[in-house]
Amino acid sequence: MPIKTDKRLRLTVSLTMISVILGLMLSMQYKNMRVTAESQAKLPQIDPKAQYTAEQLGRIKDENQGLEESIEKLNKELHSLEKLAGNVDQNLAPEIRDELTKYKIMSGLLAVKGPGITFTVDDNKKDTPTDKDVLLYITHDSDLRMLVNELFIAGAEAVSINGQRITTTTGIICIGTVVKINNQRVATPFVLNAIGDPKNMINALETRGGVIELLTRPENGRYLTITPPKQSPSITIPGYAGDFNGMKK
Amino acid sequence: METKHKVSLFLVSILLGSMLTVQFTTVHRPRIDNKVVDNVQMNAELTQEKDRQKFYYSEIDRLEQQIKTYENKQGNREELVKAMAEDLDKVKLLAGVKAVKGNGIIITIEDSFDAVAAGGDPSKAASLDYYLYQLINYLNGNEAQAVAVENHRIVSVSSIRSISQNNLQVNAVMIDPRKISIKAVGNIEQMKIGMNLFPQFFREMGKDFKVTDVTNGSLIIPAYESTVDFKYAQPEGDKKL
Repeated sequence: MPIKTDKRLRLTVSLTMISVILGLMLSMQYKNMRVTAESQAKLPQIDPKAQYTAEQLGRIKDENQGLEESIEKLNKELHSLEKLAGNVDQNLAPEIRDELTKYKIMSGLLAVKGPGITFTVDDNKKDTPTDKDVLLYITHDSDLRMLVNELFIAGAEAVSINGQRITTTTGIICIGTVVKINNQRVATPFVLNAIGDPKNMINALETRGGVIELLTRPENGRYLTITPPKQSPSITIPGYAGDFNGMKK
Repeated sequence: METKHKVSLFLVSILLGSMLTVQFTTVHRPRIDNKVVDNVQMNAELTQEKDRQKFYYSEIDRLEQQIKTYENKQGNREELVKAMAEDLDKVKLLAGVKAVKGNGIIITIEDSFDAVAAGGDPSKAASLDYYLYQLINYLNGNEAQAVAVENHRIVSVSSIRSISQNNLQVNAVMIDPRKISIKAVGNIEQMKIGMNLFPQFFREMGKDFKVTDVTNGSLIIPAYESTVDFKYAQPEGDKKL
């Protein structure tokens, strides 16, 4: 008899517990549904004009990307013709040809290839502790400029961030939550490519107290995520197709 | 009786499992598409992209014209060399190896007793290099076409570094950091808007920050003078220069 009572009691307790859990889940589900419904109601209505602008913007960006590729191809073609032309006058033309190539690399007009390094800079995706400033966890224009300056100190000959070539007139500017490079929006993660002596550049970035430590170490008050710079025997950096802040217009 | 309880328990467990599955799969956060919401921002971006497209078309025309010129003059040695020399002149301007002249601003940053008296701390000048290249970055991001620090032209491969309290390197050349003159040719109003936070940064280092406008087109930014030798970066398919 006591055995039977004990079994019944265990079953009753189990059923009670399951019922409690069930009840809790039902109430959570109901609450969640209400929150979702309220959030949806608070969402701004999609303006058809905005929708149209978004479509136009997407289209023109795609077209512009295609045009940038065409400009790069034409610059390549022109460079080949200049190389040929350099052979016509053995006294003068080779010198002009070589200067043209050199300054086209320096200005950023020509896409270039060579040994170098690549690494990625990203915001810290972990949750920001409540007692810390969220700005310490995200990548700023000044962080990217600091890295670029360091690369050039270490002898970089060409640098790009997310495919944007660093030129004489390049600005890396935060506008709200967006970073603009060469007046074009770029988003995290930022992939930096640099052509130059890989060892020099890696040493400069990774040196004790260097720029990577400054941007990633909690003791320095910054929490960015930067991948270790990786050497590559061949990095390609695209040419710049823009107007050099109106100089080309 | 026992079987009845077991069946009830089994059914309730199945119900609980199904509910858990539903709970995890249906609850998600509403996603706000900022791209659609911010129409004003999108319109501004659209205008910029349209301007960019206009420029790209004109650039394609110019390059095609230039290619034709080279092709047509293949047999004419003198004409070909002339065309190359003209192209070189334009490229030098974009590379920063040719001096430019125009409207712009002259920024003077110098040690100041007044700024120190107002709370500026000269020991903070250890980060002078950082604020200088950020300032140049902001000038470039706000329509500067050419910038020089103490007449050392800033180009794509330029760098700035504080060596010590009394030594600053610009393009690997030492300059005196106690008084620095920065010249910038470009859109005066836009450049001033872009650097509006910087006077405060330099005052905190005990330095004065003055800006003079040059509106008669006489501001000269000298050419980059250091030797440029590209050992690693080469156009695709080319041999070393």
